[in-house]
Amino acid sequence: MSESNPTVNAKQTRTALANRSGATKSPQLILGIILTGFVVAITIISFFWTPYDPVGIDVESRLTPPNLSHWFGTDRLGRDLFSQIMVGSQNTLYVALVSTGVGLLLGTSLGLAAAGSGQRWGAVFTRISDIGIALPSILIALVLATTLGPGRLSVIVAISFWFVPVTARVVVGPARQILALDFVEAAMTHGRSRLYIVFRQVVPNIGPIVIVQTSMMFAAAILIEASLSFLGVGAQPPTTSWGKIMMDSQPLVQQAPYYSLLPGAFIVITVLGFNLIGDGLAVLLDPQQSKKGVV
Amino acid sequence: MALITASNLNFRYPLSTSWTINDVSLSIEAGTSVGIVGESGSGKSTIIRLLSGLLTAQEGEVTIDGRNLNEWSKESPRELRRFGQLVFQSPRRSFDPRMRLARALSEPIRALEKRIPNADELGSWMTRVGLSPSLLGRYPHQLSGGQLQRVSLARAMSIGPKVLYADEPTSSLDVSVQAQVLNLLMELRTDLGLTLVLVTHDLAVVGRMCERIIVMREGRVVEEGTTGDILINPKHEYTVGLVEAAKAVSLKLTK
Repeated sequence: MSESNPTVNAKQTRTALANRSGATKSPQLILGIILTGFVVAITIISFFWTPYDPVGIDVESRLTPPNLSHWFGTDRLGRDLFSQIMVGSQNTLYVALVSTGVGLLLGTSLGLAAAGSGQRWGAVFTRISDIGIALPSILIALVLATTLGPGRLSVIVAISFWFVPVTARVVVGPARQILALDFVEAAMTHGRSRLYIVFRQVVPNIGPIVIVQTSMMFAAAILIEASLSFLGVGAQPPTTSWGKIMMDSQPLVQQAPYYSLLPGAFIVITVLGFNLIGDGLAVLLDPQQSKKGVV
Repeated sequence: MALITASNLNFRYPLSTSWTINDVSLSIEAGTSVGIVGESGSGKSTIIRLLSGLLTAQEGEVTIDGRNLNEWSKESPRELRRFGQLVFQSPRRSFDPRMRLARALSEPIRALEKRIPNADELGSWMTRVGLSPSLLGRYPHQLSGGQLQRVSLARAMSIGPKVLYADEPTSSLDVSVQAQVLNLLMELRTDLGLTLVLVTHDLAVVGRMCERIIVMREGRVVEEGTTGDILINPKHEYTVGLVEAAKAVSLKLTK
Protein backbone atom coordinates (compact mmCIF):
# COMPACT_ATOMS: atom_id res chain seq x y z
CA MET A 1 0.00 0.00 0.00
CA SER A 2 1.32 3.43 -0.85
CA GLU A 3 2.60 5.45 2.05
CA SER A 4 1.00 8.75 2.94
CA ASN A 5 2.99 11.91 2.36
CA PRO A 6 1.23 14.65 4.32
CA THR A 7 2.84 17.58 2.47
CA VAL A 8 1.99 16.26 -0.95
CA ASN A 9 -1.45 15.21 0.29
CA ALA A 10 -2.30 18.60 1.66
CA LYS A 11 -1.18 20.36 -1.50
CA GLN A 12 -3.06 17.98 -3.79
CA THR A 13 -6.15 18.05 -1.63
CA ARG A 14 -6.23 21.84 -1.47
CA THR A 15 -5.66 22.09 -5.21
CA ALA A 16 -8.45 19.60 -5.82
CA LEU A 17 -10.83 21.52 -3.60
CA ALA A 18 -9.82 24.87 -5.11
CA ASN A 19 -10.34 23.63 -8.65
CA ARG A 20 -14.09 23.41 -8.31
CA SER A 21 -15.37 24.74 -11.57
CA GLY A 22 -17.82 27.60 -11.50
CA ALA A 23 -21.35 27.66 -12.82
CA THR A 24 -21.66 26.43 -16.36
CA LYS A 25 -22.94 29.21 -18.56
CA SER A 26 -26.48 28.46 -19.59
CA PRO A 27 -27.91 30.60 -22.42
CA GLN A 28 -31.47 29.74 -21.44
CA LEU A 29 -30.86 30.80 -17.86
CA ILE A 30 -29.35 34.10 -19.00
CA LEU A 31 -32.26 34.77 -21.38
CA GLY A 32 -34.74 33.82 -18.64
CA ILE A 33 -33.08 36.21 -16.19
CA ILE A 34 -33.15 39.04 -18.79
CA LEU A 35 -36.86 38.53 -19.57
CA THR A 36 -37.90 38.12 -15.94
CA GLY A 37 -35.59 40.94 -14.86
CA PHE A 38 -37.30 43.25 -17.36
CA VAL A 39 -40.76 42.45 -15.95
CA VAL A 40 -39.60 42.69 -12.33
CA ALA A 41 -37.88 46.02 -13.04
CA ILE A 42 -41.08 47.44 -14.55
CA THR A 43 -43.04 46.24 -11.52
CA ILE A 44 -40.60 47.83 -9.07
CA ILE A 45 -40.55 51.12 -11.03
CA SER A 46 -44.36 51.18 -11.07
CA PHE A 47 -44.39 51.61 -7.28
CA PHE A 48 -42.63 54.98 -7.71
CA TRP A 49 -43.37 56.17 -11.22
CA THR A 50 -45.70 55.61 -14.17
CA PRO A 51 -45.83 57.75 -17.35
CA TYR A 52 -49.46 58.68 -16.60
CA ASP A 53 -51.96 58.17 -13.80
CA PRO A 54 -53.05 54.56 -14.48
CA VAL A 55 -56.62 55.34 -13.41
CA GLY A 56 -56.77 58.84 -14.90
CA ILE A 57 -59.68 58.87 -17.39
CA ASP A 58 -59.38 60.93 -20.59
CA VAL A 59 -62.42 60.13 -22.74
CA GLU A 60 -61.25 62.33 -25.58
CA SER A 61 -58.17 60.19 -26.26
CA ARG A 62 -59.92 56.81 -25.83
CA LEU A 63 -58.59 53.89 -27.88
CA THR A 64 -55.64 55.90 -29.20
CA PRO A 65 -53.22 53.54 -30.94
CA PRO A 66 -49.61 53.42 -29.71
CA ASN A 67 -47.79 56.71 -30.36
CA LEU A 68 -44.94 58.78 -28.95
CA SER A 69 -46.94 60.20 -26.05
CA HIS A 70 -48.81 56.95 -25.21
CA TRP A 71 -46.28 54.20 -26.02
CA PHE A 72 -48.83 51.39 -25.75
CA GLY A 73 -51.88 53.51 -26.65
CA THR A 74 -54.92 54.07 -24.44
CA ASP A 75 -57.83 51.90 -23.29
CA ARG A 76 -61.58 52.30 -23.72
CA LEU A 77 -61.66 55.09 -21.08
CA GLY A 78 -58.57 56.89 -22.42
CA ARG A 79 -56.28 55.58 -19.65
CA ASP A 80 -52.61 55.06 -20.57
CA LEU A 81 -52.19 51.35 -21.33
CA PHE A 82 -48.47 51.17 -20.51
CA SER A 83 -49.12 52.70 -17.07
CA GLN A 84 -51.90 50.16 -16.51
CA ILE A 85 -49.68 47.26 -17.58
CA MET A 86 -46.95 48.52 -15.23
CA VAL A 87 -49.33 48.73 -12.26
CA GLY A 88 -51.16 45.56 -13.29
CA SER A 89 -47.91 43.61 -13.02
CA GLN A 90 -47.92 44.29 -9.25
CA ASN A 91 -51.11 42.32 -8.75
CA THR A 92 -50.24 39.61 -11.26
CA LEU A 93 -46.77 38.94 -9.83
CA TYR A 94 -48.01 39.16 -6.23
CA VAL A 95 -50.68 36.51 -6.82
CA ALA A 96 -48.21 34.30 -8.71
CA LEU A 97 -45.50 34.68 -6.07
CA VAL A 98 -47.71 34.00 -3.04
CA SER A 99 -49.67 31.12 -4.56
CA THR A 100 -46.52 29.49 -5.92
CA GLY A 101 -44.75 29.95 -2.57
CA VAL A 102 -47.64 28.41 -0.62
CA GLY A 103 -48.01 25.57 -3.12
CA LEU A 104 -44.31 24.89 -3.10
CA LEU A 105 -43.85 24.95 0.67
CA LEU A 106 -46.90 22.92 1.61
CA GLY A 107 -46.72 20.63 -1.43
CA THR A 108 -43.04 19.78 -0.98
CA SER A 109 -43.47 19.22 2.76
CA LEU A 110 -46.46 16.95 2.20
CA GLY A 111 -44.68 15.08 -0.59
CA LEU A 112 -41.59 14.50 1.57
CA ALA A 113 -43.71 13.40 4.52
CA ALA A 114 -45.63 10.98 2.30
CA ALA A 115 -42.42 9.61 0.80
CA GLY A 116 -41.03 8.84 4.24
CA SER A 117 -44.24 7.56 5.78
CA GLY A 118 -44.30 4.04 4.39
CA GLN A 119 -46.38 2.36 1.74
CA ARG A 120 -49.78 2.39 3.44
CA TRP A 121 -49.82 6.10 4.32
CA GLY A 122 -48.20 6.84 0.98
CA ALA A 123 -51.10 5.17 -0.83
CA VAL A 124 -53.66 7.10 1.26
CA PHE A 125 -51.84 10.33 0.47
CA THR A 126 -51.75 9.54 -3.25
CA ARG A 127 -55.51 9.03 -3.40
CA ILE A 128 -56.19 12.28 -1.50
CA SER A 129 -53.85 14.27 -3.72
CA ASP A 130 -55.49 12.73 -6.81
CA ILE A 131 -58.81 14.13 -5.64
CA GLY A 132 -57.18 17.55 -5.10
CA ILE A 133 -55.65 17.51 -8.58
CA ALA A 134 -58.94 16.45 -10.15
CA LEU A 135 -60.66 19.63 -8.93
CA PRO A 136 -60.01 22.40 -11.50
CA SER A 137 -58.57 25.57 -9.98
CA ILE A 138 -60.96 27.78 -11.90
CA LEU A 139 -63.93 25.89 -10.47
CA ILE A 140 -62.48 26.20 -6.95
CA ALA A 141 -61.95 29.95 -7.53
CA LEU A 142 -65.51 30.41 -8.68
CA VAL A 143 -66.81 28.62 -5.58
CA LEU A 144 -64.48 30.66 -3.34
CA ALA A 145 -65.50 33.89 -5.07
CA THR A 146 -69.09 33.23 -4.11
CA THR A 147 -68.17 32.51 -0.48
CA LEU A 148 -65.17 34.80 0.18
CA GLY A 149 -66.15 37.32 -2.47
CA PRO A 150 -64.18 38.02 -5.65
CA GLY A 151 -60.68 39.42 -5.23
CA ARG A 152 -57.04 38.64 -4.75
CA LEU A 153 -57.48 36.41 -1.69
CA SER A 154 -59.91 34.08 -3.47
CA VAL A 155 -57.54 33.78 -6.41
CA ILE A 156 -54.52 33.04 -4.20
CA VAL A 157 -56.40 30.45 -2.13
CA ALA A 158 -57.79 28.78 -5.27
CA ILE A 159 -54.44 28.58 -7.04
CA SER A 160 -52.60 27.40 -3.90
CA PHE A 161 -55.29 24.81 -3.23
CA TRP A 162 -54.60 23.32 -6.64
CA PHE A 163 -50.80 23.68 -6.46
CA VAL A 164 -50.35 21.83 -3.13
CA PRO A 165 -51.44 18.35 -4.31
CA VAL A 166 -49.80 18.84 -7.72
CA THR A 167 -46.44 19.66 -6.13
CA ALA A 168 -46.80 16.89 -3.57
CA ARG A 169 -47.43 14.36 -6.34
CA VAL A 170 -44.43 15.62 -8.28
CA VAL A 171 -42.19 15.37 -5.19
CA VAL A 172 -43.30 12.08 -3.68
CA GLY A 173 -42.08 9.74 -6.43
CA PRO A 174 -38.52 11.06 -6.80
CA ALA A 175 -38.23 11.44 -2.99
CA ARG A 176 -39.18 7.76 -2.54
CA GLN A 177 -36.61 6.76 -5.14
CA ILE A 178 -33.90 8.76 -3.39
CA LEU A 179 -34.81 7.32 0.02
CA ALA A 180 -34.40 3.81 -1.39
CA LEU A 181 -30.85 4.46 -2.59
CA ASP A 182 -27.81 3.10 -0.79
CA PHE A 183 -26.36 6.51 0.00
CA VAL A 184 -29.31 7.16 2.29
CA GLU A 185 -28.59 3.90 4.09
CA ALA A 186 -24.91 4.87 4.13
CA ALA A 187 -25.85 8.17 5.80
CA MET A 188 -27.76 6.19 8.42
CA THR A 189 -24.72 4.02 9.12
CA HIS A 190 -22.74 7.25 9.48
CA GLY A 191 -25.15 8.29 12.22
CA ARG A 192 -27.14 10.89 10.32
CA SER A 193 -30.70 11.62 11.48
CA ARG A 194 -33.77 11.26 9.25
CA LEU A 195 -34.22 15.03 9.24
CA TYR A 196 -30.64 15.54 8.10
CA ILE A 197 -31.07 12.97 5.36
CA VAL A 198 -34.27 14.62 4.13
CA PHE A 199 -32.82 18.13 4.04
CA ARG A 200 -29.21 17.39 3.08
CA GLN A 201 -29.68 14.47 0.72
CA VAL A 202 -33.26 14.15 -0.48
CA VAL A 203 -34.10 17.83 -1.01
CA PRO A 204 -30.93 18.67 -3.02
CA ASN A 205 -31.45 15.60 -5.17
CA ILE A 206 -35.04 16.46 -5.98
CA GLY A 207 -34.06 20.15 -6.26
CA PRO A 208 -34.00 20.30 -10.08
CA ILE A 209 -37.47 18.74 -10.25
CA VAL A 210 -38.80 21.20 -7.66
CA ILE A 211 -37.19 24.15 -9.46
CA VAL A 212 -38.71 23.19 -12.80
CA GLN A 213 -42.03 22.63 -11.04
CA THR A 214 -41.78 26.07 -9.39
CA SER A 215 -41.12 27.84 -12.67
CA MET A 216 -44.02 26.02 -14.29
CA MET A 217 -46.31 26.81 -11.35
CA PHE A 218 -45.31 30.45 -11.42
CA ALA A 219 -46.11 30.60 -15.12
CA ALA A 220 -49.38 28.70 -14.56
CA ALA A 221 -50.33 31.04 -11.69
CA ILE A 222 -49.98 34.05 -13.99
CA LEU A 223 -52.16 32.38 -16.59
CA ILE A 224 -54.79 31.26 -14.03
CA GLU A 225 -54.84 34.73 -12.47
CA ALA A 226 -55.33 36.23 -15.92
CA SER A 227 -58.13 33.72 -16.65
CA LEU A 228 -59.85 34.41 -13.33
CA SER A 229 -59.60 38.17 -13.82
CA PHE A 230 -60.95 37.63 -17.29
CA LEU A 231 -63.95 35.85 -15.70
CA GLY A 232 -64.38 38.73 -13.26
CA VAL A 233 -63.35 36.69 -10.19
CA GLY A 234 -59.86 38.17 -9.74
CA ALA A 235 -58.75 41.78 -9.38
CA GLN A 236 -61.62 44.15 -8.71
CA PRO A 237 -61.64 47.87 -9.68
CA PRO A 238 -59.70 50.04 -9.12
CA THR A 239 -57.05 47.29 -8.79
CA THR A 240 -55.95 46.09 -12.15
CA SER A 241 -54.00 43.12 -13.47
CA TRP A 242 -52.92 41.88 -16.86
CA GLY A 243 -55.82 39.47 -17.01
CA LYS A 244 -58.24 42.24 -16.04
CA ILE A 245 -56.90 44.48 -18.86
CA MET A 246 -57.36 41.60 -21.31
CA MET A 247 -60.90 41.04 -20.06
CA ASP A 248 -61.69 44.75 -20.63
CA SER A 249 -60.18 44.58 -24.13
CA GLN A 250 -62.21 41.53 -25.19
CA PRO A 251 -65.07 43.36 -27.00
CA LEU A 252 -62.56 45.62 -28.76
CA VAL A 253 -60.17 43.04 -30.23
CA GLN A 254 -60.95 43.98 -33.82
CA GLN A 255 -61.17 47.71 -33.23
CA ALA A 256 -58.01 48.01 -31.11
CA PRO A 257 -55.95 44.78 -31.31
CA TYR A 258 -52.99 46.36 -29.42
CA TYR A 259 -55.28 46.64 -26.36
CA SER A 260 -55.27 42.86 -25.81
CA LEU A 261 -52.02 41.99 -27.60
CA LEU A 262 -49.73 44.13 -25.43
CA PRO A 263 -50.82 42.81 -22.00
CA GLY A 264 -50.85 39.33 -23.58
CA ALA A 265 -47.27 39.87 -24.71
CA PHE A 266 -46.26 40.68 -21.13
CA ILE A 267 -47.85 37.47 -19.92
CA VAL A 268 -45.94 35.51 -22.59
CA ILE A 269 -42.64 37.24 -21.73
CA THR A 270 -43.06 36.53 -18.00
CA VAL A 271 -44.12 32.90 -18.45
CA LEU A 272 -41.31 32.28 -20.92
CA GLY A 273 -38.79 33.98 -18.62
CA PHE A 274 -39.71 31.83 -15.63
CA ASN A 275 -39.74 28.63 -17.67
CA LEU A 276 -36.30 29.41 -19.06
CA ILE A 277 -34.97 30.12 -15.57
CA GLY A 278 -36.38 26.82 -14.34
CA ASP A 279 -34.83 24.85 -17.18
CA GLY A 280 -31.50 26.65 -16.83
CA LEU A 281 -31.33 26.10 -13.07
CA ALA A 282 -32.20 22.42 -13.45
CA VAL A 283 -29.20 21.94 -15.73
CA LEU A 284 -26.92 24.15 -13.67
CA LEU A 285 -27.67 22.38 -10.38
CA ASP A 286 -27.14 18.88 -11.74
CA PRO A 287 -23.46 18.00 -11.37
CA GLN A 288 -23.78 15.21 -13.91
CA GLN A 289 -25.02 17.63 -16.57
CA SER A 290 -23.07 20.73 -15.65
CA LYS A 291 -19.67 19.10 -15.26
CA LYS A 292 -17.81 16.98 -17.72
CA GLY A 293 -14.97 14.55 -17.46
CA VAL A 294 -15.23 10.98 -16.30
CA VAL A 295 -11.97 9.43 -15.24
CA MET B 1 -16.17 -14.75 23.73
CA ALA B 2 -18.16 -14.01 20.61
CA LEU B 3 -18.17 -10.39 19.49
CA ILE B 4 -21.50 -10.67 17.68
CA THR B 5 -24.26 -13.12 18.51
CA ALA B 6 -27.71 -13.44 17.03
CA SER B 7 -30.33 -15.60 18.71
CA ASN B 8 -33.47 -16.84 16.99
CA LEU B 9 -33.83 -13.81 14.72
CA ASN B 10 -37.04 -13.46 12.78
CA PHE B 11 -37.56 -10.56 10.41
CA ARG B 12 -39.97 -9.63 7.67
CA TYR B 13 -40.25 -6.46 5.60
CA PRO B 14 -43.43 -4.34 5.83
CA LEU B 15 -46.32 -5.77 3.79
CA SER B 16 -44.44 -9.05 3.36
CA THR B 17 -46.34 -12.17 4.36
CA SER B 18 -43.34 -14.45 4.85
CA TRP B 19 -40.24 -14.21 7.01
CA THR B 20 -37.15 -12.91 5.18
CA ILE B 21 -35.01 -14.08 8.09
CA ASN B 22 -36.34 -17.20 9.74
CA ASP B 23 -35.06 -18.29 13.14
CA VAL B 24 -31.42 -17.41 12.51
CA SER B 25 -28.83 -17.89 15.24
CA LEU B 26 -25.12 -17.26 14.70
CA SER B 27 -22.01 -16.03 16.44
CA ILE B 28 -18.93 -14.23 15.16
CA GLU B 29 -15.64 -14.15 17.06
CA ALA B 30 -13.65 -10.93 17.40
CA GLY B 31 -10.91 -10.43 14.82
CA THR B 32 -12.16 -13.15 12.50
CA SER B 33 -13.47 -12.88 8.98
CA VAL B 34 -16.78 -14.56 8.30
CA GLY B 35 -18.37 -15.04 4.91
CA ILE B 36 -22.12 -15.27 4.52
CA VAL B 37 -22.99 -17.06 1.29
CA GLY B 38 -26.18 -18.08 -0.44
CA GLU B 39 -28.20 -17.46 -3.56
CA SER B 40 -30.07 -14.22 -4.30
CA GLY B 41 -32.98 -13.75 -1.91
CA SER B 42 -31.51 -15.99 0.77
CA GLY B 43 -31.42 -13.11 3.27
CA LYS B 44 -27.66 -12.42 3.26
CA SER B 45 -27.95 -8.65 2.91
CA THR B 46 -30.83 -8.50 5.36
CA ILE B 47 -28.88 -10.36 8.03
CA ILE B 48 -25.97 -7.89 7.98
CA ARG B 49 -28.43 -5.01 8.18
CA LEU B 50 -29.92 -6.66 11.25
CA LEU B 51 -26.46 -7.22 12.75
CA SER B 52 -25.41 -3.63 12.03
CA GLY B 53 -28.61 -2.20 13.51
CA LEU B 54 -29.95 -0.72 10.28
CA LEU B 55 -32.96 -3.01 10.59
CA THR B 56 -34.63 -4.31 13.73
CA ALA B 57 -35.80 -7.89 13.98
CA GLN B 58 -39.40 -8.50 15.00
CA GLU B 59 -38.29 -11.46 17.12
CA GLY B 60 -34.98 -12.57 18.60
CA GLU B 61 -31.97 -10.71 19.94
CA VAL B 62 -28.65 -9.42 18.64
CA THR B 63 -25.79 -8.93 21.10
CA ILE B 64 -22.66 -7.01 20.13
CA ASP B 65 -19.65 -6.88 22.42
CA GLY B 66 -21.91 -8.15 25.22
CA ARG B 67 -24.52 -5.43 24.76
CA ASN B 68 -28.05 -5.79 23.46
CA LEU B 69 -28.15 -4.12 20.04
CA ASN B 70 -31.56 -2.46 20.45
CA GLU B 71 -30.69 -1.02 23.84
CA TRP B 72 -27.31 0.15 22.58
CA SER B 73 -28.96 1.77 19.59
CA LYS B 74 -31.31 3.70 21.88
CA GLU B 75 -28.73 4.62 24.53
CA SER B 76 -25.80 5.69 22.35
CA PRO B 77 -26.49 5.30 18.65
CA ARG B 78 -23.30 7.16 17.70
CA GLU B 79 -21.15 4.70 19.63
CA LEU B 80 -22.92 1.81 17.90
CA ARG B 81 -22.34 3.37 14.48
CA ARG B 82 -18.66 3.82 15.28
CA PHE B 83 -18.44 0.19 16.25
CA GLY B 84 -19.60 -1.21 12.93
CA GLN B 85 -19.56 0.23 9.43
CA LEU B 86 -21.07 -1.02 6.21
CA VAL B 87 -19.67 -1.13 2.68
CA PHE B 88 -22.32 -1.42 0.02
CA GLN B 89 -22.65 -3.51 -3.11
CA SER B 90 -22.90 -0.67 -5.60
CA PRO B 91 -20.38 2.10 -5.06
CA ARG B 92 -22.32 4.37 -7.44
CA ARG B 93 -25.50 4.07 -5.41
CA SER B 94 -23.75 4.48 -2.08
CA PHE B 95 -22.50 8.01 -2.82
CA ASP B 96 -24.72 11.07 -2.97
CA PRO B 97 -24.31 12.26 -6.57
CA ARG B 98 -24.40 15.89 -5.43
CA MET B 99 -21.71 15.53 -2.79
CA ARG B 100 -18.07 15.94 -3.73
CA LEU B 101 -15.81 13.15 -2.53
CA ALA B 102 -14.18 15.39 0.08
CA ARG B 103 -17.54 15.94 1.72
CA ALA B 104 -18.66 12.32 1.27
CA LEU B 105 -15.44 11.01 2.80
CA SER B 106 -15.73 13.33 5.76
CA GLU B 107 -19.38 12.47 6.50
CA PRO B 108 -18.78 9.74 9.15
CA ILE B 109 -16.26 11.95 10.98
CA ARG B 110 -18.58 14.95 10.81
CA ALA B 111 -21.56 12.94 12.05
CA LEU B 112 -19.95 10.68 14.61
CA GLU B 113 -17.01 12.71 15.89
CA LYS B 114 -18.66 16.09 15.43
CA ARG B 115 -15.61 17.65 13.78
CA ILE B 116 -14.58 18.61 10.28
CA PRO B 117 -11.52 16.68 9.15
CA ASN B 118 -8.76 18.75 7.58
CA ALA B 119 -7.34 18.32 4.08
CA ASP B 120 -4.34 16.31 5.34
CA GLU B 121 -6.56 13.77 7.06
CA LEU B 122 -8.78 13.27 4.02
CA GLY B 123 -5.79 13.18 1.70
CA SER B 124 -4.04 10.55 3.79
CA TRP B 125 -7.13 8.32 3.65
CA MET B 126 -7.19 8.64 -0.13
CA THR B 127 -3.51 7.71 -0.29
CA ARG B 128 -4.11 4.81 2.04
CA VAL B 129 -6.60 3.26 -0.36
CA GLY B 130 -4.31 3.90 -3.30
CA LEU B 131 -5.98 6.98 -4.73
CA SER B 132 -4.68 10.47 -5.39
CA PRO B 133 -5.94 13.17 -3.02
CA SER B 134 -6.46 15.29 -6.12
CA LEU B 135 -9.67 13.31 -6.72
CA LEU B 136 -11.28 14.76 -3.60
CA GLY B 137 -12.73 17.72 -5.47
CA ARG B 138 -14.59 15.47 -7.89
CA TYR B 139 -18.13 14.20 -7.92
CA PRO B 140 -18.82 10.43 -7.67
CA HIS B 141 -19.79 10.14 -11.35
CA GLN B 142 -16.32 11.32 -12.30
CA LEU B 143 -14.68 8.23 -10.78
CA SER B 144 -14.73 4.61 -11.92
CA GLY B 145 -16.58 1.94 -9.92
CA GLY B 146 -13.34 0.52 -8.53
CA GLN B 147 -12.09 3.94 -7.46
CA LEU B 148 -15.41 4.71 -5.80
CA GLN B 149 -15.39 1.42 -3.92
CA ARG B 150 -11.93 2.31 -2.59
CA VAL B 151 -13.29 5.66 -1.38
CA SER B 152 -16.18 3.73 0.13
CA LEU B 153 -13.71 1.59 2.10
CA ALA B 154 -11.80 4.71 3.19
CA ARG B 155 -15.07 6.29 4.29
CA ALA B 156 -16.03 3.27 6.37
CA MET B 157 -12.54 2.99 7.93
CA SER B 158 -12.14 6.71 8.70
CA ILE B 159 -13.82 6.44 12.09
CA GLY B 160 -11.97 3.31 13.15
CA PRO B 161 -14.75 0.71 13.38
CA LYS B 162 -14.22 -2.64 15.06
CA VAL B 163 -16.45 -4.50 12.61
CA LEU B 164 -16.76 -4.04 8.88
CA TYR B 165 -19.86 -5.41 7.18
CA ALA B 166 -19.27 -5.74 3.44
CA ASP B 167 -22.34 -6.42 1.32
CA GLU B 168 -21.05 -7.98 -1.93
CA PRO B 169 -18.44 -5.22 -2.27
CA THR B 170 -17.08 -6.47 -5.57
CA SER B 171 -20.12 -7.88 -7.36
CA SER B 172 -20.79 -4.70 -9.34
CA LEU B 173 -17.15 -4.25 -10.37
CA ASP B 174 -15.22 -5.46 -13.39
CA VAL B 175 -13.36 -8.73 -12.82
CA SER B 176 -10.02 -6.95 -13.22
CA VAL B 177 -10.92 -4.48 -10.45
CA GLN B 178 -12.47 -7.05 -8.09
CA ALA B 179 -9.09 -8.52 -7.09
CA GLN B 180 -7.66 -5.05 -6.36
CA VAL B 181 -10.56 -4.16 -4.06
CA LEU B 182 -10.43 -7.55 -2.30
CA ASN B 183 -6.69 -7.17 -1.75
CA LEU B 184 -7.24 -3.73 -0.31
CA LEU B 185 -9.97 -5.08 1.95
CA MET B 186 -7.64 -7.82 3.22
CA GLU B 187 -4.83 -5.33 3.79
CA LEU B 188 -7.03 -2.96 5.74
CA ARG B 189 -8.46 -5.82 7.77
CA THR B 190 -5.02 -7.07 8.76
CA ASP B 191 -3.59 -3.59 9.42
CA LEU B 192 -6.53 -2.42 11.53
CA GLY B 193 -7.38 -5.74 13.20
CA LEU B 194 -10.98 -5.67 12.01
CA THR B 195 -13.69 -8.24 12.33
CA LEU B 196 -14.98 -8.73 8.80
CA VAL B 197 -18.46 -9.94 7.89
CA LEU B 198 -18.50 -10.45 4.16
CA VAL B 199 -21.66 -11.17 2.23
CA THR B 200 -21.15 -12.71 -1.18
CA HIS B 201 -22.49 -15.32 -3.55
CA ASP B 202 -18.96 -16.06 -4.76
CA LEU B 203 -17.46 -19.05 -2.94
CA ALA B 204 -14.03 -18.32 -4.44
CA VAL B 205 -14.05 -14.93 -2.69
CA VAL B 206 -14.95 -16.34 0.73
CA GLY B 207 -12.44 -19.14 0.22
CA ARG B 208 -9.73 -16.54 -0.13
CA MET B 209 -10.94 -13.95 2.36
CA CYS B 210 -12.72 -15.72 5.21
CA GLU B 211 -11.91 -18.09 8.04
CA ARG B 212 -15.49 -19.18 8.60
CA ILE B 213 -18.50 -19.54 6.32
CA ILE B 214 -22.20 -19.30 7.07
CA VAL B 215 -24.44 -20.73 4.35
CA MET B 216 -27.94 -19.27 4.08
CA ARG B 217 -30.98 -20.37 2.15
CA GLU B 218 -34.50 -18.94 2.18
CA GLY B 219 -33.76 -16.88 5.29
CA ARG B 220 -32.28 -19.75 7.31
CA VAL B 221 -28.73 -20.77 8.18
CA VAL B 222 -28.33 -24.23 6.65
CA GLU B 223 -24.67 -24.83 7.46
CA GLU B 224 -21.86 -23.12 9.34
CA GLY B 225 -18.20 -24.01 9.79
CA THR B 226 -14.60 -23.27 8.95
CA THR B 227 -13.83 -22.39 5.34
CA GLY B 228 -11.90 -25.62 4.88
CA ASP B 229 -14.74 -27.76 6.22
CA ILE B 230 -17.42 -26.08 4.15
CA LEU B 231 -15.49 -26.03 0.87
CA ILE B 232 -13.89 -29.47 1.13
CA ASN B 233 -16.45 -31.41 3.08
CA PRO B 234 -19.87 -29.74 2.83
CA LYS B 235 -22.61 -31.57 4.69
CA HIS B 236 -25.88 -29.96 3.78
CA GLU B 237 -27.33 -30.83 0.41
CA TYR B 238 -27.67 -27.14 -0.54
CA THR B 239 -24.03 -26.39 0.37
CA VAL B 240 -22.91 -29.39 -1.67
CA GLY B 241 -24.82 -27.96 -4.62
CA LEU B 242 -23.26 -24.52 -4.16
CA VAL B 243 -19.73 -25.92 -3.92
CA GLU B 244 -20.27 -28.17 -6.94
CA ALA B 245 -21.68 -25.28 -8.96
CA ALA B 246 -18.70 -23.10 -8.05
CA LYS B 247 -16.32 -25.90 -9.06
CA ALA B 248 -18.13 -26.38 -12.39
CA VAL B 249 -17.90 -22.66 -13.20
CA SER B 250 -14.24 -22.62 -12.24
CA LEU B 251 -13.54 -25.66 -14.43
CA LYS B 252 -15.37 -24.11 -17.37
CA LEU B 253 -13.34 -20.92 -17.03
CA THR B 254 -10.09 -22.91 -16.82
CA LYS B 255 -10.94 -24.80 -20.04
